[in-house]
Amino acid sequence: MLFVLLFVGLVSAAVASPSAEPLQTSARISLPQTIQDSLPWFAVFELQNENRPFTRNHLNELAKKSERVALVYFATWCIPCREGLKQISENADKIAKSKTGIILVNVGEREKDKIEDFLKQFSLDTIKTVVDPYGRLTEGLGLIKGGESIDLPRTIILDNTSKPQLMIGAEGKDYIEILIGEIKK
Amino acid sequence: MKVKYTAFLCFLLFLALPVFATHVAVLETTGATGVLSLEEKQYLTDVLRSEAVKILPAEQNYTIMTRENISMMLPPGKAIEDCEGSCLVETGKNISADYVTQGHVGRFANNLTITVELYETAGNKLMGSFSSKAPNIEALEVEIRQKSNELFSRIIVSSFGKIDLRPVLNKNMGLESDLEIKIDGENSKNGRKYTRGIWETSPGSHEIEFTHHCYEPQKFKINVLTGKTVNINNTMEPLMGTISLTTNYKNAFREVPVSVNATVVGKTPFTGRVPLCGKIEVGEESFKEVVPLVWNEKKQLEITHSLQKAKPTIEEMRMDSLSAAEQMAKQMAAEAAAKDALAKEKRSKIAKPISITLMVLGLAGIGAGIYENMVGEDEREKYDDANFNNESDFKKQWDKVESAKTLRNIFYGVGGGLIGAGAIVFFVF
Repeated sequence: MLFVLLFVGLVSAAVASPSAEPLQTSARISLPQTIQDSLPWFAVFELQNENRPFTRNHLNELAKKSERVALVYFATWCIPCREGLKQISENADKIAKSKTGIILVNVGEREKDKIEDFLKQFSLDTIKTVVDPYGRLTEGLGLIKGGESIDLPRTIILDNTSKPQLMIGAEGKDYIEILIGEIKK
Repeated sequence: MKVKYTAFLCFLLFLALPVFATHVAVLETTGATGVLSLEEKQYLTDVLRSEAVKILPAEQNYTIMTRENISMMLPPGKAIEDCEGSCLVETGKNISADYVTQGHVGRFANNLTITVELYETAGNKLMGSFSSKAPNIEALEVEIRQKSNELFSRIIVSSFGKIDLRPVLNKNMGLESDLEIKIDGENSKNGRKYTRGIWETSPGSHEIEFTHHCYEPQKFKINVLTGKTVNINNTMEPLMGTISLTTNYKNAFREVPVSVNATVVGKTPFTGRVPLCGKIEVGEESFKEVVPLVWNEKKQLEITHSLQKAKPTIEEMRMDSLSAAEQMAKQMAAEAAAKDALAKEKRSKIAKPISITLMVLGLAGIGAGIYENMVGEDEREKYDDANFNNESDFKKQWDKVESAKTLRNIFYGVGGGLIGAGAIVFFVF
């Protein structure tokens, strides 16, 4: 009898475990003052073409062609980031149809092979990815102060004028809806 | 010297593996107004850039950023010429360059001067610099070409990382010297065999391989970052085999403990997995014996080990004590007999001459008795034949007979006694 109760308890605990399922709603984070109106200047390189710069100008051009652009921050060591990347991978068509541009931003890593292998796991290796070894898209945007480490995951959604609209932390079940603009602020 | 240095750099370049590109920005050469024209300064920048390309080739994933790229990445309204000194590092970060270099021209007496500085963005530090002077711009170009080689080489040297190889072996299993370490398929570098310790290597992905006949081989990839050390202290897993071990003592099965590397794992008959290079011992404490293992290809062994010694059982101890008592009794008897024999021998050594002497004396006594008997018989014949004139003569003659008779008897008695005594001494002792 005791064993049965223990078993039922364990099963209930496993079912109720928050790590088993994504959050119902994504965590909203208020935009820092530095990016409430526009993004400051930044310049980084693309992962896929290491000699091709990716600057605020490039982002502006991309935003103009889209309804919105999402800067999705990740690192290979970040386990929670995988949920968001998985959702993006599974809803790639939906995202494309909604004219939402996705820019993956790798935070602080330089191991190209490792990053590429990581993205291949989610079939995201063809999505434009930038590497940011010097914190131009974190410290440079005011998301963190000098010497701090950014909490991941983070997603910044910009409108087609590159104006930041909202920032998301941990991705919930509504993440894709937020990305494609079905759920507004 | 220069050839050796260049050869060393080539070797380092050969080792370098493609990682995320190392971006090097050669910013526009600056200078006091009127020293050189804009075109001349741009030309000197191009000279520096071309030297950087020579030393840091694209095949090795070094990217010398173009003037266009730099301009594209600088914040709007900021020109390359606007920045000098420590600001260079900030500029490097802004344009995501890993290294930034810039020349500054001036004039000293009748000579043109140039100072070129190289900064590392990540470390915020001046990596190196050189200064030169020349009477004209052509001579200055020659100076730049000669000296920039060493300056840009510092990027390569500083681009190295380290691997600290410290695989963990069980101290009881296998020799350290049997451990083979390979990095990227090679077991040595510059003729030096890879061993435990710190090794400098190019940044990027490297394949590490540990092999040892006592352990499972390990092969894995690591990523070495510039200026960082990758610590490898994997525990090597022992290779295992199966043994069926039984033990005999004096041609009969004997149950004894089985130890693997000094840890008791069971008793004989024992069947189980043991490390190939493990020390297998059988026997009780202080009776332990090492079981030699000669593994076959299947890594399965059936061993019957004959114990040279074993802790006695209770029955053996009882039997041993009985037999020991018996043995002791026998020994004591033998010792006593030997002692007796020795004493006898000692005695006989003294008794023999005594008995012989006694018997010789006895014989001499008997001889003397015989002589006295003959004397007595002569005296008796004289007595019988004589015609005594008086009683005194008669008595004298008779006394002589009697005297001889008495002496005879005494000698016979003494002689017989001595012979008897001699015989007794001879036989008794």
